[in-house]
Amino acid sequence: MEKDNIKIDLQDDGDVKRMLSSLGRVDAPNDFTFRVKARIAEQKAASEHRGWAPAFLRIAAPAAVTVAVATGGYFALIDNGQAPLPVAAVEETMEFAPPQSAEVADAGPSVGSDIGEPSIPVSNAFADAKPAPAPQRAQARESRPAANTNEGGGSTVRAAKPPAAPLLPRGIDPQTVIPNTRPGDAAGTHRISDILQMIGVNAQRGAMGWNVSGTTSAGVGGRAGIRSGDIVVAIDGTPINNTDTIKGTATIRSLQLIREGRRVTITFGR
Amino acid sequence: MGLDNAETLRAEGRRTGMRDEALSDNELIEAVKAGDEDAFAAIIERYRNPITNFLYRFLNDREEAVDLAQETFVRVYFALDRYHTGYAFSTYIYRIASNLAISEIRKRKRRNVLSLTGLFQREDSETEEYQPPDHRQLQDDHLIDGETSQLIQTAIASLPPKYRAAIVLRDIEGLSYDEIAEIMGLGLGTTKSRISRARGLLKEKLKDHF
Repeated sequence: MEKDNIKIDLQDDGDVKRMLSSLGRVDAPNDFTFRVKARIAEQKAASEHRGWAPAFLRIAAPAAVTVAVATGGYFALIDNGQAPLPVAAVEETMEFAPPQSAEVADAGPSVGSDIGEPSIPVSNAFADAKPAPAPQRAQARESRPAANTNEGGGSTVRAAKPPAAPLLPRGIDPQTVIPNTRPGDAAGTHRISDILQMIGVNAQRGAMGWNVSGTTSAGVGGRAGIRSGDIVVAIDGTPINNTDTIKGTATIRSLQLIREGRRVTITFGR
Repeated sequence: MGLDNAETLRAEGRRTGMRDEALSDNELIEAVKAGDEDAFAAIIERYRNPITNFLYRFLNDREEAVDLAQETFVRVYFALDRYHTGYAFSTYIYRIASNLAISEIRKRKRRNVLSLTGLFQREDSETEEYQPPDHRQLQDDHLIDGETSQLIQTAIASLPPKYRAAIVLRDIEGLSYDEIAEIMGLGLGTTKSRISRARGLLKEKLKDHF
């Protein structure tokens, strides 16, 4: 068919179809097959060269990133108080909720605080006891009640076999547990000096807050980094600069200090 | 036909000077899966021109069309294990080519280059892409003279991709409506509607030139 023999007259769809079918065809170049084979060989060689390691990394790297992000997010939530502390961290949290009674505390699992946190009973009844050794702390972890329980809970093992020694958080000196507390005083008023003394911090009230004069070597406060010269200005965000007592569950999660003019927050439980 | 029969036919074909046209697409595919590289060369030989032509009419760029046609065969080769011979190979390979072409058009849009198809674009046109005219004379482009052919080609390239693929497959490649529906993953009615719409758009774009 010679050039220009086609008269294009677009009256209907059939004309369009005829026009398009009259277009010339474009063929592949002569070396097309060779080039395709070369590409295939190149990709095969590349995949063999990569071996198993890149394939492993393609799977492992995203998985590692996912785990890292999830872990980071979890601890970020803990920072914000939106996630429960891990069991190991709970050990370090100072709980000052006194037990309902010495018998209750001695016979079974402790009673959770009103904010749903697991608590360790502390009472004058334990005044003569020594801190629990590590195996007993592990037992304490077993026997802690689930979150948001207001009463009861704990393990049946613990209930059936009461511990030989009172269970106290690590760093709590049983000689210095909160004095003058009464059963049912968990959400009552506590003396700040007692609270600080329980975590091994000796402090006197001053103009700006509670001036730390020293810490005991085994106390939680000293191990958390509180040192002489610090000024404790708040417990869990509640200012204590002009008061001797604090109300609430007496559960310390953080202390706010002034150290060398800078505000420092020390968080327990991690 | 089983693989043994296919190999027998191929061996017979070689002995008698016949080419692989005697074998169906699926028989060739089975032979490739069995390790016969020559069978894949036969597949390339069979489809290289239709695929290249389809991609050229779709993209209006010969170099890009040849490159994507080669890439189409590479992808087919590495995906053969996943190809089920219960489906028509022709629609399978056109579908891969079509997807590659659509991806290429999207890449062009992302590059956000200046559209040179304004001649054929109305204000409400869906396409905005770079369509450089390919002025090289094509070896078989003698049915309509070069200028007219280029005018039509540019008009096709200015169609939205969904219409462009449909009309090229139907009116240039000559595929059936069923095949086009399968390639594009559409229902038969939608496919016919798109082809009709594409012809209407093309007629509208070319009416001032003829």
